[in-house]
Amino acid sequence: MFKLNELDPRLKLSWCLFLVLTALVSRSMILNGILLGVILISELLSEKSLKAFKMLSVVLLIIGTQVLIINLIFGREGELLYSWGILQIYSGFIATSVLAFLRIGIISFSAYQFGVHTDPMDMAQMLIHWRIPYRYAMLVPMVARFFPVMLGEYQSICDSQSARGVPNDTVVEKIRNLPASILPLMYRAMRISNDAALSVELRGYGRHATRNFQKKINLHPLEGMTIVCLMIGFGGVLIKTIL
Amino acid sequence: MQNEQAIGKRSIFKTDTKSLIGAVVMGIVFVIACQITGQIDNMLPWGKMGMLLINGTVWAFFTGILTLLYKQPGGLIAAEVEALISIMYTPLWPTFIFANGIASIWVSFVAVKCDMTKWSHHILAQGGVCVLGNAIVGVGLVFILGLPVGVAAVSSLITIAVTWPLATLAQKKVYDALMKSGMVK
Repeated sequence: MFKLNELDPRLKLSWCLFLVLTALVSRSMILNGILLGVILISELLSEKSLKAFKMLSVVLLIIGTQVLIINLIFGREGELLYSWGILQIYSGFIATSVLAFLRIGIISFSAYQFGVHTDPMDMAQMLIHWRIPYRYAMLVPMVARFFPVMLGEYQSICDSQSARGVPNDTVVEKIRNLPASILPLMYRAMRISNDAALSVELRGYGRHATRNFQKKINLHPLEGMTIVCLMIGFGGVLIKTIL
Repeated sequence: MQNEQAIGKRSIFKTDTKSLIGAVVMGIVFVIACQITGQIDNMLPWGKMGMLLINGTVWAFFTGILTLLYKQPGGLIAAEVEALISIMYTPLWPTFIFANGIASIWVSFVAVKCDMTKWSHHILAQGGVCVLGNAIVGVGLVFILGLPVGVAAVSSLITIAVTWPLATLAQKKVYDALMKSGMVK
């Protein structure tokens, strides 16, 4: 059984781009349905569960419902089914909404799959392979390193506000409290970034043109061939859509 | 010496480590701010209709202020960090990559041409951010979410009309405060 984590990041990026671009170009519901199915099956084969997509699925369901309602009210494709005053419902709203739902599913799941199953260090090495100086390429692992740190900082600011008895229940209160939570977070971010910049500079960040990594990425010939196949596949979809 | 002074006065670039790491960390703050305001917007009537007005204001403000603070490539890095992490909560992320990038580059060009001391400079900078950014997101609303063109156009126009003045106001106030504190030279 294959593991998505072990594949080369360039193959995973190609797969992600192939899915996103195909979903954007194609208007075929069958093709989009197959692609969404392939994403879910590959995730099941690799991880044996779809737990990683749980939160994103909820978000996509909410967005999908909004799209359905907007298309129901404002959609003008197909035949007129029902009319009452200014409200007119056309038959095309279901097809448009289903296609949009499949499309947002493919775009979100494919990118999320790439993000979750690719090590930030592998992404940095991929950028270095593309001749991006490692000073810039290493910013990708830094995002992964500092994201939980900043979330923790934000949580501690919220806890401090709660301990002081700042009300944060209604929408108006949340809007009023926005500067009181964001501005301290900005201050902490500046302090952390200054400390981190000094720390990495003193350890010789950017002194040498290259850098060593514990694990190197290598594109297997089979993976290279798969990338070529994906490019040909996308070309085929593009030609079919244009013709 | 003259070159150094010229670069120091109106350079589009700032490539020191502090700017790069600062851009990454502030990019994460940008993401958190967008997440919070997105949730607030979703509780409000316009948010239920898909128009994220508070979120749009915060997006435009952060795009502008981070570019003024960290210049390039810092502004672009912070904007793209937001765009790439938005994969986790919106299918419109492909449009954010272009919208954030173009908006950040626009602010840099305005900052090179103007000294950012007048209201008009900030209005011009935020005008480009809001119009270009929302136009690109409008294209995404049509091609990704499949919304009717009219709905996407009205949504983008309302978002521009609301976010432009609010983000300009916030950017001018914060930029002046940063100038006073010596963070921006």
